[in-house]
Amino acid sequence: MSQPLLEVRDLSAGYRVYKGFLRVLDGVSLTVRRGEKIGLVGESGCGKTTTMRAILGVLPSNGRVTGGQVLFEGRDLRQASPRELQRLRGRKLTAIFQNPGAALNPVFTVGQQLDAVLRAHHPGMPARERRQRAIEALASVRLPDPERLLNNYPVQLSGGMKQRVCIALALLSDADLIIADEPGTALDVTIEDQVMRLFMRLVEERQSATIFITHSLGVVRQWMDRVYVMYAGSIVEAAPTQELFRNPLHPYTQALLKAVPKLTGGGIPKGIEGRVPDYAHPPAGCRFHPRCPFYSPDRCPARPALVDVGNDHLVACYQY
Amino acid sequence: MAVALLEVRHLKKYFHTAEGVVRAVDDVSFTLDAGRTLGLVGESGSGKTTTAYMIAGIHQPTSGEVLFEGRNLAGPRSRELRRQIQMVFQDPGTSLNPTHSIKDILTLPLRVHGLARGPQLEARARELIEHVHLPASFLYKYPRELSEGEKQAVAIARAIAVNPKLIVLDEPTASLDVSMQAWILRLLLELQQEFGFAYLLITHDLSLMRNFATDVAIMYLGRIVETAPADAFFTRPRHPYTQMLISSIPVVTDEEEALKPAQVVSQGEIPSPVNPPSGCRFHTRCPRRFEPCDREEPVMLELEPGHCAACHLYSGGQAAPSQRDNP
Repeated sequence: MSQPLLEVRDLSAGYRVYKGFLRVLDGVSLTVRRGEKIGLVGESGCGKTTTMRAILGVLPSNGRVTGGQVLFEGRDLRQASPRELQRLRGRKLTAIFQNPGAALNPVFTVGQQLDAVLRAHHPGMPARERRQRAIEALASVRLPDPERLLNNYPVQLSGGMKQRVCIALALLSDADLIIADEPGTALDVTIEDQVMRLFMRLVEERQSATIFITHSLGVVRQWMDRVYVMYAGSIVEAAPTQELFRNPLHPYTQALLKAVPKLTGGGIPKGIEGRVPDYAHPPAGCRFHPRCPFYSPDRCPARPALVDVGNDHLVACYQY
Repeated sequence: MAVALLEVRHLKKYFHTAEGVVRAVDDVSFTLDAGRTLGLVGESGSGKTTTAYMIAGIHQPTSGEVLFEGRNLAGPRSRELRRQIQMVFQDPGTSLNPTHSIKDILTLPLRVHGLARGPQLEARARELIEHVHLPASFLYKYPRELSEGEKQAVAIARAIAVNPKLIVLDEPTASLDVSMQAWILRLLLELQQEFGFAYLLITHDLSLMRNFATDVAIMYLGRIVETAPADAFFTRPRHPYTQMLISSIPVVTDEEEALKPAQVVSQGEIPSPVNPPSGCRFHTRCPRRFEPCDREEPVMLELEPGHCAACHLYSGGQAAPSQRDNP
């Protein structure tokens, strides 16, 4: 089988804060093959964004990767020089963030920002061609009147339009892997739906791989090939989408699915007992055990490994 | 016949802007009884939030009436009236004053409405925090120390503090995770059972709506296009727009998938409310449009008891109750 595009092996990372060190990521492993659409799902605070930043090498100044490897096309990004990383980022590996308002520079026009990306990645390209490419990029994300839009500042655009500009920016680089971190969060849900469809269509057309980070199970089920479920800094379950929804194995995945209100009725579900752990003092062993209905005092204190149960389905729980 | 708690009649709200007149709400009528929950659903620009804001008193209607227990709410409201209708907003981060302790947040409305004084204030605040299942120690915390879900619970405690009859919930769980959402919704239901509140719920989350609302009204470009009890709305949607929205809900189980109508993909963009399409406003995106749709506006018709829709596909039916008193 061909080499995966991205392989994250046992990644650990955290943040230095006033009260100590927050051990957020506790050995995250995931694999992305070329053209694959991966959903990374988990609730707030589970470490999804930290994972993304650790992969890209853009953790904030108090963040540190403490272990593991990030292999992109076989090369460990943690060992790469800053120049190598610079060449990869924005070209082969690119990102779309949660808040388009923060991702776009408010003092430059849309045109200037698109142009900057084109100049960085295509140094020989003449200005006229860059402008043409910029207009095409905006048109590909179905933004009206792209020529005029080039002269607009981000503040003149609605949330949905700004996010489309960010998508256009990410696609300009024709990257092999696009990591999108909850791109719909800041948007009205019906606009989010439109933007999602657009993003997915463009990703398919270009056969880019994507890691799509979200807390919405519905979105994942509708669009992704494979799902990774994350809880408190580690992957607890991973499977092809259909397999995961038909046969959820990890107690956390099961609880998450039960907690979603159903279109078929059934009233408001119960929700999950307990709270997300304090990363300064996380539970020993399996981090979900304090909230788990299947808790076993002999088995759970040992951290469960991700086990392959067949059908490309991985789960980290003593029961398997 | 008993007077409904809330009755909205031919409500309109037009905003005059540089681009023209935005007809945000353009002839909306419905009723809501005590202890019931009416869900208002629609895309951005549908007018659902503006409608809710007129009921809450944040906007004044351009025309039409909002009747609360039979009394017209036009003009500045008395303090008593303002007490009866409360609101919970989408983002607890911005609806709670970050410089106030939780205790201050809860006691302010009590003081404004003269409902408690001195030591009673603290006692009442304790009762309220208990009602929303938070520990009493939270009274001395500040909003930034609470999680999103806990903040929203405080916002709810604040809303119930003055014993209102109607609470407007504007996307109360949109910024919350799945398990926090379940917790807040159960809390709201429990409070409704105990105190008999009527809820006006605005949300785009149709799965939530299905399990929380007793009746649902769907709005498009300022008008209600369909209204029905929740069960009928989801199992027998009549209006093509309703079918379109329900068909695109991302669901998590095969059973839900089977319930959805066949996928109807939205054709085209949402038209501008400054220049709504002629005839039926939905005709530009409607897969079932036919001869009369682009020139004649459909009338709201009652298709089954309590289930009304405004669509030419159903013409020949009986006019809906809200239309019978049409001037």
